[in-house]
Amino acid sequence: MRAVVLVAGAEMRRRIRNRSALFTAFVGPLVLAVVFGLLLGGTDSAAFTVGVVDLDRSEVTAGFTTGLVAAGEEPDQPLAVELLADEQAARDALDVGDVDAVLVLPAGLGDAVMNGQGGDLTVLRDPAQPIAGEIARSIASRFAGGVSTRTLAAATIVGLGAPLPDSTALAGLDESIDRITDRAAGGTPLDGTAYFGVSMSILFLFFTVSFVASSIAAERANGVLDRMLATDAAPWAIVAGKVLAVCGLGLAGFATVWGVTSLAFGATWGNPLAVVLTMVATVLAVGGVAMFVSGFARTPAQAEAYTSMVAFALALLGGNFIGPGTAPDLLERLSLFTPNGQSLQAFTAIAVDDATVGGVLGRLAVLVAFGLVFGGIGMLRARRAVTR
Amino acid sequence: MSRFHAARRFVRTALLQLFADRSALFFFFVLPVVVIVVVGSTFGVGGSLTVGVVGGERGDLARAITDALDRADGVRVERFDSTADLDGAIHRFAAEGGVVFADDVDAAVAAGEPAFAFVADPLAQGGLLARDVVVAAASEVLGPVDAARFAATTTGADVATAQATANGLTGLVPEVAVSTIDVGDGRLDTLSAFSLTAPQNLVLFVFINSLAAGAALMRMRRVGVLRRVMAGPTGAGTVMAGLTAAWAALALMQSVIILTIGGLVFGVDWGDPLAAAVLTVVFALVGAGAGLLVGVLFGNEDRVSSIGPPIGITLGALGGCMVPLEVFPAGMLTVAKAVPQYWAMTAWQRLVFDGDGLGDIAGPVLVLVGFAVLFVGLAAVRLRRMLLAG
Repeated sequence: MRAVVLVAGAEMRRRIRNRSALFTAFVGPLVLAVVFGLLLGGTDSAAFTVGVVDLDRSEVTAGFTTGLVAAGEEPDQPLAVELLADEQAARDALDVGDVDAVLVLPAGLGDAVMNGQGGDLTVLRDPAQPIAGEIARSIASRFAGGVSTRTLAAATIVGLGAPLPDSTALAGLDESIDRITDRAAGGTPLDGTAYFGVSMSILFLFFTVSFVASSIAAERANGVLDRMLATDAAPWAIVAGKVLAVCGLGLAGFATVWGVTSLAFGATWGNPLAVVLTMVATVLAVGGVAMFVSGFARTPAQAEAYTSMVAFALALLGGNFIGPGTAPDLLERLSLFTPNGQSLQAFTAIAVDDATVGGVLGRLAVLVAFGLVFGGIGMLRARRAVTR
Repeated sequence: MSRFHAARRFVRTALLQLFADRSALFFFFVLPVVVIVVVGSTFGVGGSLTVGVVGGERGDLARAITDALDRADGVRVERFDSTADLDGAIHRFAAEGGVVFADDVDAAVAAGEPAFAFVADPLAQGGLLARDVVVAAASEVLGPVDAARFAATTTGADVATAQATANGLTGLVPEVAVSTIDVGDGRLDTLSAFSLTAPQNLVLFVFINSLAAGAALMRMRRVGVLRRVMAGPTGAGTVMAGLTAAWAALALMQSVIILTIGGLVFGVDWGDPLAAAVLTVVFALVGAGAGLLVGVLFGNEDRVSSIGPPIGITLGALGGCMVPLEVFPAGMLTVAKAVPQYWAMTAWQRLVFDGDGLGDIAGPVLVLVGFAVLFVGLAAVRLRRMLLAG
């Protein structure tokens, strides 16, 4: 055991002196977590500008456009409204991307509406912006729906044998849509910086753990390994010491990302005990897989290359490069076959569902199993590599 | 030896080394294509708004509103068993918002009571957009019901009679119709689903691999290859020209393969061939310059290997290689302009999406030329100093 601790201490000192290892364990995941969190951390950055062309300029259309512009000027509104002179100006604005969709109110619309004659609203949209097109269509439909409902109500009243009501009476029509109740979703929203903190920590764990294989290969080449084997240290103790050091480094990096994203960015990771245990299980799982993969390497360069390949492949499958909630069902199912996916799901449950250790026990068990199976085989191969 | 011959030798050696290293081949050719396949088949070029529904089967009106949501373009409807599931999906960003129907929607509407709740994260702007879509769909369905109820109240008729009258008039009474017109030259309709991800990964991987190739320059410095070259009649300028040509050749080869696979296998229309060629060559020079700079600035190969990919990924993310530049927050967009990837992506988007030509991408290309000159120049000054110092 003393040999394990001594090797771990020596390896840790070497890693800390080598600033690239510190970059891999601490700086890399932290920088990428912040960048990805700002860019992909949800849909808050979704914002659209809808143009409005009022060719009618009647009281009806003026009231509608004034209401729209005022709504767009409210704080934190994702929808800005820009008034445009005519249809050509609207097409030009769409072409250069100044607006994302345009609503055209035709001449004569106000009179037609007041006389119950219906009308036509046109939405000009960019096919590459389906959401913006649908938002503009929704605004137009809401206006059209209100007018159509009142026209139908007037016709129904006449159909029931009563006289045609005037516009003042119709204005009092009570629409069910006005009784929608709004409710804030319960629970805690997933924080983008925390999500990518986990994602990037997992990715970089692979690189940190691959130092074991590259270190063994390098020490065999420069004779250090032979000298270590000449001491009382057993081959397994040498490997275990190196594994302990890099896992400790990886865990410290993970915890640093947790601390910095929580303190500097206010990210909520959830129940601390569950977070810590999931971190340990993730380090075990990723460490196991990285040990297994790098066990096939014969040179430091091979160890780095093999680990990088597997790290990127698992990160792609596990959803590390994809924003939360955006993976299609198939990819979401596939991700559960990777330690990355299991870990991300566990951390998400802890943050969003306020899950405690009991709530993520199944995923922790899977992560530990990943670590034991792959890590066990990897350790055997590494031990053989030491004595080779 | 002339600079031309020296450059040819350097290029030949670099290519031979690349093809001898199977793991390098994976990162040069296999990984970019795999990423293009995964991301392209997952996201395509459009976006969608996801609206969750709880209790969509609770009455005819609930079913009709859900159907109206299903018919909306750019909207994906996801059914949930409980409000807790919907809340979780909203907080995981799997849905922008959702509708929770009352136990008996038809009875609630008839009684003038709230028939459904709209649920969203109040701090997320996507929720406000989803609300507009839900209100429009519900308005379409509930309008005739409201009209009948109003008519019944006004005339004193019973609601069933008024509803029957309103139903009979629906379609006969002039309505305000909404029509949608797609604008543009139709180019967007024919775009491949890989049109966004292919340029993104071309730019991302050419730069990352160029940085990683900096380790090879480190190795050449460490084992003394460059000093031995300098022992002959080859000057420092020739060595630098050769190295730049070799690194640019690697970046160009990777670019050509991604462009070819993108075009032939994924149906990506890269736009005006001359403009695409100029952009490809200029960005290859930017990558080559960055790789050389890393190779002369860092002290050991370990550092170059471990720092290169994270730097490449970070700059790629900042430059629009992972998220379209259109959805960048304003502050991030300003930061993005400091990285070459932003200018490359801006130019590729103009070529691929707008069908623009060389004149339209002159600005971004000139900025990229500036980056290339800066990177190669700095690397040349540093390397020359190293070579002359022995």
